[in-house]
Amino acid sequence: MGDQLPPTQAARLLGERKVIVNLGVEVFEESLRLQGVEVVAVRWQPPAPMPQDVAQLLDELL
Amino acid sequence: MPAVTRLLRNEYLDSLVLMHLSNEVSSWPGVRQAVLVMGTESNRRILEQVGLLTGVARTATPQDLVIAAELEPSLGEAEFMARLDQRMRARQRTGSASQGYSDLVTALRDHPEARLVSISLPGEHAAVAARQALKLDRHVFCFSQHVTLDDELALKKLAVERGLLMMGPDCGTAIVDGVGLGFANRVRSGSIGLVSASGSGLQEVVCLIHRAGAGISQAIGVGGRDLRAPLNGIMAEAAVRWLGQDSHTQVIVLLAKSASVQARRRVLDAARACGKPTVVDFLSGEIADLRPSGAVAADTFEKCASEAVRLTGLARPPSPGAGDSEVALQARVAEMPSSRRFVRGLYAGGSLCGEATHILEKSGIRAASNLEEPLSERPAGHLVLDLGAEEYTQGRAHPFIDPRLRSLEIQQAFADESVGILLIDVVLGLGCHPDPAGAVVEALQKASDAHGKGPVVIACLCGTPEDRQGYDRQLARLLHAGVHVAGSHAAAAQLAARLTTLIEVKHG
Repeated sequence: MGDQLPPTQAARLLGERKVIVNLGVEVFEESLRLQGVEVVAVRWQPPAPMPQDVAQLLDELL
Repeated sequence: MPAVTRLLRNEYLDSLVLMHLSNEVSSWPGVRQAVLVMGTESNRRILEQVGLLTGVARTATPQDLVIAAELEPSLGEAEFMARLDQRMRARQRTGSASQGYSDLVTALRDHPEARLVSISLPGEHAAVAARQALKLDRHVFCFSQHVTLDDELALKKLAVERGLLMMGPDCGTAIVDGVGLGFANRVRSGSIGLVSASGSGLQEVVCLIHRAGAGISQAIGVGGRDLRAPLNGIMAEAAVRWLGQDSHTQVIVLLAKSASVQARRRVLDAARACGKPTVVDFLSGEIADLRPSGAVAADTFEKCASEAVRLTGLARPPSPGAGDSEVALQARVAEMPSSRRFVRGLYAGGSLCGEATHILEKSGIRAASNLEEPLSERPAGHLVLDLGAEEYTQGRAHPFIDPRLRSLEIQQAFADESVGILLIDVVLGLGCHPDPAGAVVEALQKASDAHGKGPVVIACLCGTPEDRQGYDRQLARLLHAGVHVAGSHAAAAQLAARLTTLIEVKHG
């Protein structure tokens, strides 16, 4: 974790541009925009049910 | 009139949007009741309970949006449906509803500059999304509850392996690089860094720090279970080490509702190793074992904030309360009917609720609460309720957002002639209700109209002047309604304890 960071450096999570991907509640997306954050919105849909083995295979392929 | 239903196949809206739309459609002339929900099994049961589960609604799947309504005879189905279509189209045009990626992986591959993913999906899907984000080397803020412990542990192990932060699941708030996530307050930047397994505790501490003139470097939420077994502080340790190497962080604050022995050792060792002054509030833990670590022990969120501020070199006295003086409140208590002798806490913030029970207990006041498990029935006597607990939030939004449940509870507390002291939290911040004090005041007004003067009301106001609700505006509303607003949550609970003790002495 912190081992990647030289001890004198200010820790930065978001990078220079402050871009955040929002997946879920739209209210939080609006809150981020209000703070000047660039938001990448993902319009999530509940996945159609699929057999467990197919779901696992897809997950492993990622 | 029988129920009417519109089923929108493969159309997802989140629970907050659905709550707002349900309220709006229910208020239309000619609409007796309207419910907009996703077609999950539990939501179909809700529709059945309110008499809106039509044959069409029975065929809904969790992928489908169900709009069900009962209409007055004055409103025809065709007219209602036309208006509904118009409303949904307007939403599509004005909102960001139609823009955006349809899957997370594509979004992350197209935006390598995005370093963090904020996830607030239904719990069973949140773990899948979090794993995808971590595998693609992104930090995660996960607001969702109902992620299994096994999944949480696996996600946090994956995050640690990859040098990433996994904030949550069940992480109510965080502040990273000055950006508030979840229910976050607007606070100035500064040199105090927090690691917290307590959402409302984090909010209370950062607000007190801000109001004392100091500021926050980072506030890393780790989720409510991180310091308990089997997680044992896996992410808290990583976050402390991370703050230890952040040159902006000069003082570290650790907050947790409870912590296992292993977790305490782990995070305290990490704090000692980084060599920065550390203040610790493990709400329900002993403080004796903190001494070898060199950490400063605090037994309230207020003490935590004041110690952290002191360690930065600033010295500010604690904020005084506002409203009637304690002497005036004592006089009111003395005038109350002798039946009004118990304290009733009605909380939106779980950690604030936990702090209240501890503070009351220290004064010998044992209050029943739902903090450990849901109450099967309302016990007589002192009672402190966390209205953000799972049993109250199924099928409805958190009370930070939707104040209606607490409003009903306030009226019930006035109607219950055994309640002498009413203790509440009013929490401001991004994502929270736009006027939480207004909702409390309205409920108090209705309650006193129906039941007379009622109990003494003591509130803590968790927020800052920079929050969009405005600390000062919210304070003025509460004071105008005769509420005593304490300078901190601990001060509110301590005042409630003193007044309750006074009542006990009075009545023997």
